[in-house]
Parts: sequence; structure tokens; C-alpha cells
Amino acid sequence: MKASMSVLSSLLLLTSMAATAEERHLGPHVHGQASVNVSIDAREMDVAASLPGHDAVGFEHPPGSPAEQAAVDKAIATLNQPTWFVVPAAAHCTLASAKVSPHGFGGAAEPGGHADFDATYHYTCNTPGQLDHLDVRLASAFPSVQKVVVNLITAAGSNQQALDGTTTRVDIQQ
Amino acid sequence: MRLLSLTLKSMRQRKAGVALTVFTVALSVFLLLGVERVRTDARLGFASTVSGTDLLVGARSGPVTLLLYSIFHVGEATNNITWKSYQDIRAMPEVAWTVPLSLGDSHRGFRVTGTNSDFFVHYHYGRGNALAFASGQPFSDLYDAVIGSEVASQLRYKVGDRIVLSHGLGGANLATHADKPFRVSGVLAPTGTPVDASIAVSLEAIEAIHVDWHSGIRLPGMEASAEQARHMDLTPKAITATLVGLHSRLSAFAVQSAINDYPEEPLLAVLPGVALGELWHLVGTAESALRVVSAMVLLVGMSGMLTALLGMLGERRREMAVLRAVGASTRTVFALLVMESTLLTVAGMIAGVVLLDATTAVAHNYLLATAGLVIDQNPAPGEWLLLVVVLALGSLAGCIPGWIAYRRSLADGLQVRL
Repeated sequence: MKASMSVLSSLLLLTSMAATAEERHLGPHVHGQASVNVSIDAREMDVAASLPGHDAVGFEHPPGSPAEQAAVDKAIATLNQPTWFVVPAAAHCTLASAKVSPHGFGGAAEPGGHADFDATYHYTCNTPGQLDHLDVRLASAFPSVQKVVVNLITAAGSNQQALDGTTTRVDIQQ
Repeated sequence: MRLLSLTLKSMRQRKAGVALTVFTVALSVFLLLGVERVRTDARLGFASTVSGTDLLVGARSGPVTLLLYSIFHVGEATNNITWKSYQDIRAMPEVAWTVPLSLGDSHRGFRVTGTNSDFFVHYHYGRGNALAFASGQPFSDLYDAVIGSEVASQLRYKVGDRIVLSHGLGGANLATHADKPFRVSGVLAPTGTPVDASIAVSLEAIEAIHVDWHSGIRLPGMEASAEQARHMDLTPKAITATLVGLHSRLSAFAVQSAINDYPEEPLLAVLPGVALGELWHLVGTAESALRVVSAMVLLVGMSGMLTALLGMLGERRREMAVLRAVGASTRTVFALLVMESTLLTVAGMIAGVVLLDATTAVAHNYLLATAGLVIDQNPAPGEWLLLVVVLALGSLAGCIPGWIAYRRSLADGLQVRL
């Protein structure tokens, strides 16, 4: 009986540990560095951008003043209209959808204490064969961004191109 | 037009000299373009060691580390992936196919990869080339092995031969799996990738040869024969890494992040092209070295070409004087000399390109088998620029004697020098 009690209690302990187990994964977060993932499949192009809150608005906590709230709204508006992402006109691409999700600017703090802006875009291109390069001007839209890391996946494979300083051109091999 | 026919007639008088000059130019062009082609193809070949695979998944380490141990068979895995996690990845709706890779055993210095027959379907390299069999076929029996071309040529193995795998990297001869020999069922054609120096067996075979091993040693008294092992549960417990193909490339980043955030086990998913790029960045000094060689070849080749052209044109002092005597203007003489060197350069360039194409066509298989280099016949992007430089230098070479002839008096050419 005693033995079964101890088994029971250790079982209880295990389940309670499982219930309270927090997820302890943290992704990288580098101030001054934004990342843009571009995947192209036939006529579809998906773009996902991730920007540290520090570079988008200058702080990483829920907005505490009207000025901070305005900064967050402005960043969301800039990301919603991706004029910083320029597709060659010859490819005839249209932006089908855009979604911006701020993390860490609401009530609950993010694990790790950092805050980011994530944005996803979906494009449809009529002449994808003309898609030979992209212009990523995230560093001019958000001057605090020093480096933009672009990951690209196309029919020709995947590669990574880092844009430093004034470089904006991303070459695409189809 | 008259100038051209005059040039051709003059060249006909000096066949041997013309042929030698064209040959020198051809050799320079051949070397120059050859080095450039080797440089670009070496990089391209490296960048496409794995192609057609959307994600490479292993235990969490770093992209380059994962690539090194799983694809290049350099170093060891930090951890394995449990079979359960592998099944979870396979079951993701975006995933079209997976190819498991299980490493750890070797045969006389060559690594053994445990995988399944999908490896021969989905592992692509270069511009989407699938693995081809030089002879034999994929494994059909539990104790079948498929060997790479380098293994076959170095150890002189052929289909039907029996081989014994060593445990681990095979340092000590004691740790062999001699009780369960394998039969070579197929030999792969050369690819220029690390597959050439590896032996592929099924995952179940890896499991079977370790069925009576525990904690790294063979348990005495618990030996299972090759036949007994066939009837045991050979589901693997872990694999080293897996190649993942997706239904749509659009989901690549989402699947990558889902695997990287997989809560039950720390996993790492990388885009093979990105990791290969990082690795090339590390070993890129080799490319810079080739660039330097290329520049030196350009210098030496051009000097040789200039010497040949100048030497030949210098000999024609008297010819030019005679032309002047019969009424040709200094400008005509200048044009004649420039035209000749341009013609010789163009002829040399054509001969050089033909020579290079012929050599690459003939040496393609030899280079692939011995150096693991895939040299294509497609011109490298920088070749046109190099050819323009060669042509400009060739024409310029004609300007020097042209200018000398232009300045010399008529009498100078007619005087007999003693």
C-alpha cells in the first residue's frame, strides 16, 4: 500500500511538472538586423519579414504613452503597405494579402522579453519568368536597421543574401 | 575589302609563322577560359551538392555543422533524431517525402549511410540530376549494399561482392560486423559529391547489425545470427539526419520554423543552399586563389600573345616599305598591320574555344572520376568579358608595329641592313 502510494505521488509530481513545464525555446533576436524570407513557386510568391521592435519603433514594451502608441501604429502602417519591397514591374506581381503581427507590444510579455514585428505578404505574379531580382529597402524604411538578411528559395534552390548599408538588390536565379 | 585580301595574301606567304602565332593565342585563350570555367564550375558544383531537397533536418547544432556531418561525412553528429520525431516530421501535411540518413559505421575508411530506397529517387545533385547506377540496382535484400563510384574503383568492388562493415569508424579491427556480411547490389555512377565515397545500406540493415550490440559492445551470449536478425523488430530507434522535400516551396519557411520550434526535441532545419553558401564562404579562399591564378594566366597568356604578334609584324619591315613605294599611304600600312593582328587574334580565340570545348568533352568523365569536378561545356558568365579583353589586346598589339611603320621613313624599310 505504501509502495503504491509513493508511486501515485511520484506520478502526481510528474503530471504537475508536465502541467507547469514552460516552453524554454528562444529564437535569436539581433538588434539592427531584420530578416526577410522569400519563397517563389510558379506564380506564387510568399514574403515574410521580421523586424526587432528596437529597430521598428525604438522600444520593446507595450506602448505607455500616446507617442509610443503612435510609433507602433506607424510601424504597422508602414509594414502593411510594403513600399520597401520592390518587385520588377515586368513580372506583373500584385500584392494579394498582407498581414502584420506585432509581438510583445500587447499586454503579455514575450518569452525572452523582446518584442518584434512580423509581417507576411502574398504576391501573385503574371510573368514570374521576369522575376530576376528584388529590391529590399527595409533599411531605408526603418533607418535603425543595419543589416537585412534575405533567405530565398526558388526552383533553383535556396540561398542567403545579406544586405548591408545601401545595398538593396537581391538576385534571383530561377 | 582590298585591305583584307592583301592581308590574307600576305599571311599566305608566311604560313608557318601565322600558324604558330594562332597556336600561341589559342593556348592563351584556352588557359584563360579553362581556369575561369574550373573556378565557376567548382563553386557551382559545390553549391549543388544537394539540390531538389527543400530542408535538411538534424539535431540542433549549427547549419554548417549539420551539413558537414550529414552530407559531407565530416565530423560527428552532436545528437541523433529519435524515430518518433522523424515520424512526426514525415506526418506534417506540407511534407511530400523524407529520406532518413543514419551514420556511424564504416567500411575500410568509407562511411556507411543507412537510408531507404527513396534516397536513390530523391537525392539530387547538380542541376537536378538523380543518382544513376553504373551497374546493379538499389538494395532489395536486408543485407544488400550500394556503393559509390570511388569505393568501387579504390577497392575494386563489383556487384555481387561480399563486404563486412566495421563498427564506428573502424579503427580497431576487432569491432567488425563480420557475422553479418553484405552483398554489393549496385554501384553508383560518379557524381562529384560525397556520395561517391560512401556506402548506402537500408536503415533496417543498420539496425540488424547492431541488434546484439548494447552500449557500444557486442553482448556475449546474446549473439543473433544474420538469419535470426531478419525476424527481429528492426524499426530504428534513431536516425542522424533527414532530407525533407515539400509539396510547395511556399511552405518551406513555415515548416523550417515549425521544426526549429518542435517542443519535444531540439531539432534544426536548414535550407541546404543557405548552409552550403555559408560553408563555401568559409572555404572560399580556394576560389580567391583560383582567381589569382586566373589573373596570372591572363598576364602570361597576353604577354605570349603580344610577343608572337609583335615578332611576326616586325619581320615585315621590307614588305611595308615596298607597299609604300608602290603608293600605299601610311594609313593603309597601319590598317594592314592592325587588321592582321586582329585576324590572328580572332582565329586564335576560335581555336582556343574549340580546343577548350573538345578538352572538356573528352576529359569530363575523367575529371569527374578522379577529381570529383563537374566541368560543364556551358560558357562561364565571365568568359565573354575575357574574350573581349583578349580581342582588344590583340588589336592593340597590331597598333604598336603599325605605329612604328607609320613613323618610319620609306627609305628605312628599303635599306639593306648589314
